[in-house]
Amino acid sequence: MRYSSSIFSVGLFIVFFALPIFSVSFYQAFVSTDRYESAASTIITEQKPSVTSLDLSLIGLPSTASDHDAHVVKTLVLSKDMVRYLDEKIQLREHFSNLEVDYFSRLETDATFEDFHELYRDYFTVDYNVETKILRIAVQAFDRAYAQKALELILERSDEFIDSVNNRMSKEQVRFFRLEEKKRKQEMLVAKAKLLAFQQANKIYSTEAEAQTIFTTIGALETLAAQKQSELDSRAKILSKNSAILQELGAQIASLQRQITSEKARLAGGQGRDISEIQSDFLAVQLELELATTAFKSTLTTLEQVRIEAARKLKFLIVVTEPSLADDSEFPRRWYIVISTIMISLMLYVVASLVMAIIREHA
Amino acid sequence: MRSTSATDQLLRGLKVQRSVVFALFMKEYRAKLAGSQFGLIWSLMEPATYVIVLSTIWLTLGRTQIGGVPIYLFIAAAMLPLKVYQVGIGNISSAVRQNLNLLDYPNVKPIDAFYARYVAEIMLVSISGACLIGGLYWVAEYDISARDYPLLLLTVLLALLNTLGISILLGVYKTRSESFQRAVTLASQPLLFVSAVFYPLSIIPLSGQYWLSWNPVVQVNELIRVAMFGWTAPKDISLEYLCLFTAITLFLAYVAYFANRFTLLKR
Repeated sequence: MRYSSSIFSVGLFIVFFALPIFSVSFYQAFVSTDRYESAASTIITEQKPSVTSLDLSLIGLPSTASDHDAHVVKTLVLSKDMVRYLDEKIQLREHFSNLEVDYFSRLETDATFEDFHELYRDYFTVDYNVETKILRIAVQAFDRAYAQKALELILERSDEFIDSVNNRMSKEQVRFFRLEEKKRKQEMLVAKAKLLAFQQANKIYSTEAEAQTIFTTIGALETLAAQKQSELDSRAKILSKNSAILQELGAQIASLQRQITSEKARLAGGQGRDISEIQSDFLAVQLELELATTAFKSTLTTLEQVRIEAARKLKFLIVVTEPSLADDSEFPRRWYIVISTIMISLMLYVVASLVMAIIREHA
Repeated sequence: MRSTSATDQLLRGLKVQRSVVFALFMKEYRAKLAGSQFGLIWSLMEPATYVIVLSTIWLTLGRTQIGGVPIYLFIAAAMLPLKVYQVGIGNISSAVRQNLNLLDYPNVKPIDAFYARYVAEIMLVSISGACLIGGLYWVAEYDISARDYPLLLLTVLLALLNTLGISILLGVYKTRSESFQRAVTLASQPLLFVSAVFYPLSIIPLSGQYWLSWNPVVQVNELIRVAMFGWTAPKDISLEYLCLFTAITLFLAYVAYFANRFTLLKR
């Protein structure tokens, strides 16, 4: 190799190989701040597992209900709301922009909230395993206890969120039937009050009983009238027509006959409201009450069913492994980064050298 | 051989190579113009035609937007990267095969044919892309501004470099082997369907997303969506992967070319 060409070779070597590897290794070895990871695994369960007749995940079509919930929790954990919450509780921004942390890992002091959120998404990760349904949440922080604390807060918040969703959902489902129940109850009470008013206005408890009473009365009166009549007939043979006893008996029979007529009039016809009219009105009122009662009963049953159904659909965030306390710093993965840099630099160096060699071949 | 300094040699080589590439480029350009006029117009219209056809599918399903982005713009933004990769796999990598007679000139190296056709084809795609996106802007008045210009620029740059690597790598072996060429043509047929061009990656189930995300075109398309429309990148989409993929293809391409450069000349 000619001596003069070595300037280029050396230049290429430095720019594409030595410099990147040296700077990255130097940064990783002496500058970059250790990050500690705390991780927790959770699953979201329903009391009643959603029954699918066909397991679509076999052909790559998952997205059952619990997948959906896991994605909801994932979105929550990675949301800006969560960043705000953590910042409020444990001053996340302060922790991220700590000046002891190296320049490339920390948040600049005048960073916008969007930058903050972006950095947050670098250090806070959520992975959902479709097969095992386990949601793994991991937090990297510059302090081991801080990472654990942040993860605990995230889990707490997620739990609260799931609870509030449960609450709202069951409330929403039950609400309609609650209203319905109230309405039906009101209707039933109105019907009952109507019946009572009717009974009071007509001074009867039940028309049937009333009619029965009248029948009995008429029967008794007629028996009595027949007795009196036979007594009158037997006495008339002995006594004179003008005797006081006969006259009294005659008056009694006439009075009984009048009474019978009036009782019969009460039963049907005559002036005023007779018992048959009252009975038909009474039956209408009674029917109304019965209908209202049945409706109320069935609403109550449905309400109970819905309540049970809602309780069955309750979801729970179950923490499988509690937030761990890192013993050693796993991040940044220095060897991985350095080796990747070496490989990429090597490739770029080869490409650059070959491009140059190809150019030189044209000369 | 007279002794020269490396700088002189490099500069001279650069000069020669530049003029060779330029001459080949002009030849490509003239061939395009002299060939059927319809062919040129078709290659300019092709992306737009695809966009219209694919959009119609969505429109008949009753969707006018995907993730808040008008359907035409959504597909157009992904159609152009796909087109770049397609000409890379097809046209650009066939450059040496179709210019074999020119390799008799000692100054013309096989790679110059790749370079020239690369420039010509990318220019053509750029023009048709500019017409397409510009047309959407003028006619439909879509908002074509991006949310993240640095990311957009970087993604496009990586896509172009990646295409260069793929073209040269495939081109070397396509020139050497007829059956390899046929295999590549066959294998690249379903590229349109596995590149997340007319659907967002996020509608695919997670396991499917994982497999599709190995495809660099998917990475480019999704990254462009992140940069243009401000979407959140799906789990398996990362700029790092695209960088690595580009570095590896470029590396393999140049090593393969350098190892085969005399074999290519002999044919």
